[in-house]
Amino acid sequence: MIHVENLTKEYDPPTSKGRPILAANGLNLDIPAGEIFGMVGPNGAGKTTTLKMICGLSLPTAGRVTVNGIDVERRPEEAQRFIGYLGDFFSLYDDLKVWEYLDYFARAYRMDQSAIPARIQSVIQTMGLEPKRDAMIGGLSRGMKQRLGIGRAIIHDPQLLVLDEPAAGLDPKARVDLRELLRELNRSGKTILITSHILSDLEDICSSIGLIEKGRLLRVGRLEDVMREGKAARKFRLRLAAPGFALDAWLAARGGVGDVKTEAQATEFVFGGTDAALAELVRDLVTAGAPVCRVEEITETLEQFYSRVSSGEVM
Amino acid sequence: MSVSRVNPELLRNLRIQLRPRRMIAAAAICAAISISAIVIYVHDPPAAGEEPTFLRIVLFLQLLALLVGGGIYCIQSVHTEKDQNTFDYQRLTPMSPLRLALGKLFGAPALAYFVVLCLMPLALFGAYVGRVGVGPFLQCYLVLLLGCITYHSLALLTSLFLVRGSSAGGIIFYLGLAWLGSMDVMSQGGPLAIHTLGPAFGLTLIDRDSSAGWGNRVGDLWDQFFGASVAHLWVLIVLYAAFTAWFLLALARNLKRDPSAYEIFSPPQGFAFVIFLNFLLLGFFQWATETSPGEAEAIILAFGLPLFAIFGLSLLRNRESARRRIIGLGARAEGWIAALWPMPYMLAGVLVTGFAVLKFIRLRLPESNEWNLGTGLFIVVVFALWLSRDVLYLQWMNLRRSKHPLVISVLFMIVFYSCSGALLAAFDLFTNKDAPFAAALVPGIILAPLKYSEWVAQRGAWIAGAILIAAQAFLFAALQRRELRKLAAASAISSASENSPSS
Repeated sequence: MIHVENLTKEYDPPTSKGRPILAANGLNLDIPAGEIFGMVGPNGAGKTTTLKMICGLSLPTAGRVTVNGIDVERRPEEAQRFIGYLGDFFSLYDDLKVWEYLDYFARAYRMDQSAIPARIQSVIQTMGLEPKRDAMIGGLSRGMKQRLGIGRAIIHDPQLLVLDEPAAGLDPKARVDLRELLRELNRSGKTILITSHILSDLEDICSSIGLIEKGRLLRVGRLEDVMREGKAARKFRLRLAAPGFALDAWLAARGGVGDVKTEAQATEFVFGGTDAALAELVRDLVTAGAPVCRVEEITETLEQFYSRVSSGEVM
Repeated sequence: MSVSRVNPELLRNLRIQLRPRRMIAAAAICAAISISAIVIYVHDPPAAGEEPTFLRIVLFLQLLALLVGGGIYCIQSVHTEKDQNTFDYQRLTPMSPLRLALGKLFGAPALAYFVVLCLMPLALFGAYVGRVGVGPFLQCYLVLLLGCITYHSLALLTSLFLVRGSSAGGIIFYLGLAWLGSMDVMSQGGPLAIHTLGPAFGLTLIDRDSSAGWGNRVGDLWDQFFGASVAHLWVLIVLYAAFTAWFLLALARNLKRDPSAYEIFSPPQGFAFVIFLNFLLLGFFQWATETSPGEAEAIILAFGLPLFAIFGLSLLRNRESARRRIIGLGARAEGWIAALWPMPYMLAGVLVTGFAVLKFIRLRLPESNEWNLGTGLFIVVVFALWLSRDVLYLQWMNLRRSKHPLVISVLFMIVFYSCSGALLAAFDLFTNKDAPFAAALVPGIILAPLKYSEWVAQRGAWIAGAILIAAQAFLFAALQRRELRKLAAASAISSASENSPSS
């Protein structure tokens, strides 16, 4: 769906000295259709600039973006038909009613005139804005405005949704609702490119991820692949039903096991073997008389992973 | 026209501007004004012959609402959208830039149009009591409407180019232009044979003999175009249509662009525009007066100076566009040909205009002992070199890294001309035999104008002076080249850093 090739955006810093700033530094990226792709990075990493270049709102200094095979710089209007965009500091027309706002964009996207009222109704329903249909936008809450903003982005039923920090400024309930809404839109076939510096939001919904910092992509790929990257062994936590078994010593003597630590009732260890080898280890442990009640893999959160691979500017 | 076929941007503006409450308030105010005016008229009718004054006042109110009120709405239109971050969403839609521009042009001042409409009954009353004919009445509104549309399109263009926090400056600029347009250059003895350019001219049309047909203006309101008399009404209609088209072209070119890549016109379009303006200048010049050939050339070139200055400014490349060219074109974008930008366009524009001026002087004005074609040609060449030198200086400065490079370079230029002019005048170097070399610093003195006898007496010195100007232009080209190479080197350093992984 999105193909980004050596995308570079360079500009001068606000002061008259120093090297040019690279908001995007030779980015290469492919996002297949049907993905929810999260772009993660601290403020000033180049997320917004990259998104604007993907949408054709900002010209790259060098490089190329295609959306659905169409070059965004050369044929912007054609490419933009496939794109629905919501910016970070978005604003709406406060003097319009909710339905008028959607009607404006439906017409602007040259939708079939006869289909517009039904489409507006459907979007209003999807966004949960039925009670506010005839309300002036100026009177809506932040969460409602966010929904309307997304409604505007999908009014022409684009294949690609580009959302820049859509969860910013929303309360916890609205953020949960937003995640559910995005999943639903993805299930209906939309590819979603979303940025955030709130990592837990992305971890829940993204199928792929790109970590960006200082204009460079540090890691790109399927969420689970990226998270596993750089880790030769997995970490496990084991609990015994009763004390009395010398678990530390037993594990330390076992091949493939390392970094054994016991805290409270649980023992954590690193294991380099396969799932079958792990099953064999547990079986031997039980045979040796250990009252094993729980074995779990300790997975890294996106936040922990980001801290590990980045320069530590995680939000 | 059904709502379904309406321009979406126009419809959006109409929905915002013409909310029932606003319309009721505007209509109520207009009704109050109308009733008061009629009561005053009935109680204190004007003296005989003064009847059209009533209509003139109503027309002035309508003009004020449309030209000033509507213009301010247009100035704030794009600018406010940019400030509120709603403009990007319009840029993303497949609406054509022209359609978007037209929607804003007629939609943003919708309330002002409504006010004009609300005052129409009063205007009709004024026309009735003033015994104003249908023809002049319609002509008056035609000028008012077309003139305001032209001004609105300029206001919209200004709005597009305004930077954050400068809308007050934009409004002042617009009001200044509106005021300039209301001046009658011809009746004040100016060098141009054309009357008031602003829509305020419409107000004078109601004094016309109602039996006069379209274009048969009685009295003195005729313009001279290349010596031929043309009714001012028709001149205005053509000029309004032409300028609206130029402004819409600039709007359509830039409205959906990345603001960092704005350029009013493409270089060929800009060239065509400046030639068009000079064509008008040449056409409306007062060829019939007693002006000598030397004075005529100097006046036309002096009038052309701000036109070419605007043209030169519109051609300047900023660091962002130079960087994109360097990355796209490689070494070609930092070579000598690139470093001469935008001199070729300036030279071509000035030379084409200059040769046309000389041709017309030969055709229209009597020969003079103080001027011949050679002198005229030399003046044109010096004028072209002068503009090229200054625009190359501005281009060099515009590529240097600074917060406001263009503002700083123009300020430096003003200081340079003020100090040089004062010093040269103090030492009397403008008038004596040193004038050719003084002209190397301040070439404008050649428009004094240079006389044939002076040219013959110091031909070598004048040519040396012109070569000095060319050398300065070359120096600024060299400086520009150095700046381009620095920019290329900085970009090369940045892009040498390691690339990101691919998925």
